[in-house]
Amino acid sequence: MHYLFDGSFDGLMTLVFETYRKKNEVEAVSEYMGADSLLETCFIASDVAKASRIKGFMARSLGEEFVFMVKAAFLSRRESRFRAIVRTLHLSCGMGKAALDLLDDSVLDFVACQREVQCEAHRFNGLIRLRQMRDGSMLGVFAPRNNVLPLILPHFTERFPEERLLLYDENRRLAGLSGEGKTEFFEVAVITPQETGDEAELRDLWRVFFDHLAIRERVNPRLQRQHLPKYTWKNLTEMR
Amino acid sequence: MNLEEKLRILTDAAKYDVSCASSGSARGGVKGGIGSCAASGICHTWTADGRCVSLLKLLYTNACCYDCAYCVNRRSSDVPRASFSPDELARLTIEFYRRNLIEGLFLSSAVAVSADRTMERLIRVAEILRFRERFNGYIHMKIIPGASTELVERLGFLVDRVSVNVEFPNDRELMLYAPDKQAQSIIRSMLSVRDRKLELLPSVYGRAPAPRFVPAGQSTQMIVGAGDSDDRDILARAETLYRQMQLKRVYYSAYVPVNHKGALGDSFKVPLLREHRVYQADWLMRFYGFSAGEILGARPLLDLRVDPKTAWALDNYHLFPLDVNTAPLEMLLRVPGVGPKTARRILAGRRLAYLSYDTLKKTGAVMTRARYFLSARGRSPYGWTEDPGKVYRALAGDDASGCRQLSFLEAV
Repeated sequence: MHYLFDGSFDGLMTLVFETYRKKNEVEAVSEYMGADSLLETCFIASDVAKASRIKGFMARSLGEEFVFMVKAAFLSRRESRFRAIVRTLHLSCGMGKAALDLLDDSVLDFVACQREVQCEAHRFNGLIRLRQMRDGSMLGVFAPRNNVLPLILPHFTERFPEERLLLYDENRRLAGLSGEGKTEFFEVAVITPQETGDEAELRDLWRVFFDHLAIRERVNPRLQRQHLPKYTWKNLTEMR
Repeated sequence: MNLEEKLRILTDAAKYDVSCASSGSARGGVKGGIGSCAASGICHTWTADGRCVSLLKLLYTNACCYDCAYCVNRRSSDVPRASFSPDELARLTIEFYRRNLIEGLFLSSAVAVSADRTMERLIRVAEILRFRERFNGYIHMKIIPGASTELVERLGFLVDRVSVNVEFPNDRELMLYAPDKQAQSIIRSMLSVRDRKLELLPSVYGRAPAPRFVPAGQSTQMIVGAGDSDDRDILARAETLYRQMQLKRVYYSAYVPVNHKGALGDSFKVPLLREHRVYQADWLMRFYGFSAGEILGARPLLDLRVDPKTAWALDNYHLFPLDVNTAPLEMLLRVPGVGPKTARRILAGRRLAYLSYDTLKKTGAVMTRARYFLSARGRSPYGWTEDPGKVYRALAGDDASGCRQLSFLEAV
């Protein structure tokens, strides 16, 4: 059976709850986009009470790290992510955390999904470039493959407790705002940065540092691209 | 001289120090301050040579009174000289940090006037960052060889990591190429940091918070391929440093001839592959339970054609193939193509089900190498042979018969 849900995290958790008795029949899970499929489908409506039972089970029996993995996998760009999460949670209902040690294809897919997301989030913790705007806030624009903004914003909030920060995911047009102890996410169509005069000078200084740090005798562009894939370049001061 | 020029000169002067890690310290942000540290460290970009940039790596000054043969900043070298002021360095660090360009500062210095005078300058920079700017990010500073232990200790309370470079695997070479440095004083400052750190272990303090002294530990650096020492000397020295000095990292840098009229000669190719093999051997010592002697066996130099673990496994071919369902962790870690994560996954996986040869791949083992050394349920269908020479040729890039595919574009 091909299951559909509303795309929210609670919706997916409801789906885990509703399909538990028919767990071997879950062939595909995807977000309902409005168009009807030719295949037989089943839509599961979001239900907060059922979702919170699954969430309660996760917090009680699976531990913090597992819960974080589920949240990370949910942000993945892979099409198979929802089914992988559902299957892994169904398996862990019987055996708890040990489900992660199974060499089952869905579990491996789940582990790979969350790993890709966490790696990309870690990468962008370092690669987001902040610029100071005229109103004093710091703006960081980036274009990740996975929806990593929700994982990244807490890191920046912690690191810069005195700044007002706006991080903007160009690919999803999603903005995360943090400052004065609050964080908020919202959709923004276009962003028009108005930066202060210091920015150009600091960018130049950074480029000087970056260019002179490389050792000529060891130049290795392939190695550089391996760590710094080209899709990240357009928002990097030093690679433009 | 303007800031940009200074930055250019003192970046050029600092880049041959390899270390750029920002790992080993973990702490959250502080209200009213700026900065935090991630245990794993964070890389912020990669330069054209493929090395990561995590810290703002600079020299305080490159006006040196020493004359070390391998160094670009030696007294007799004809390079432009410059010095930062502590305020300039603090501003650069904070402004770069606020823009998320760096994890912190890595400050070293040429020896200007005397070791102690130079150390005092470095301490001043750290004090400004920590107290005036309330900077809570990562700071790595060099101990100037020959500095007094009191100053080393003062620095230790301000920074995350300190390092002092041993440069060569043995003291004879250090004396030859760096006549102004004394091996004794390098070891003395390493020891004093180690001992002070042990005295301040959190367990000594019970519930009270222990003062933070060099939380990310010490590191050092050795040059590969400058003198006449072989890999046996290098790895033996590294092993001693890890065991006795409790260093967090030993870095290795393939020698780049920067002084063409220097004592080390100039008809020279940078030994990048050798450096790579030494790093692999270093990893084997730190994460795989190998000792330096084991890795090298009877050879003075690491095999350049296969990695050191494969070389070891082929020397000890009688131990293989290992059965994945019964082999202990220590032995699984010694299989080429199996790392700590894969080994742990094999252990966890076989607790739930008997592993077959075909499920091995799912554990993450690199089967191109591992297949010659593993079996499951007594079967080892794709690789294991009686003859280790065959395996060597296969893994070194020749096929089993010792032949090689010709390239259409290659001259025959």
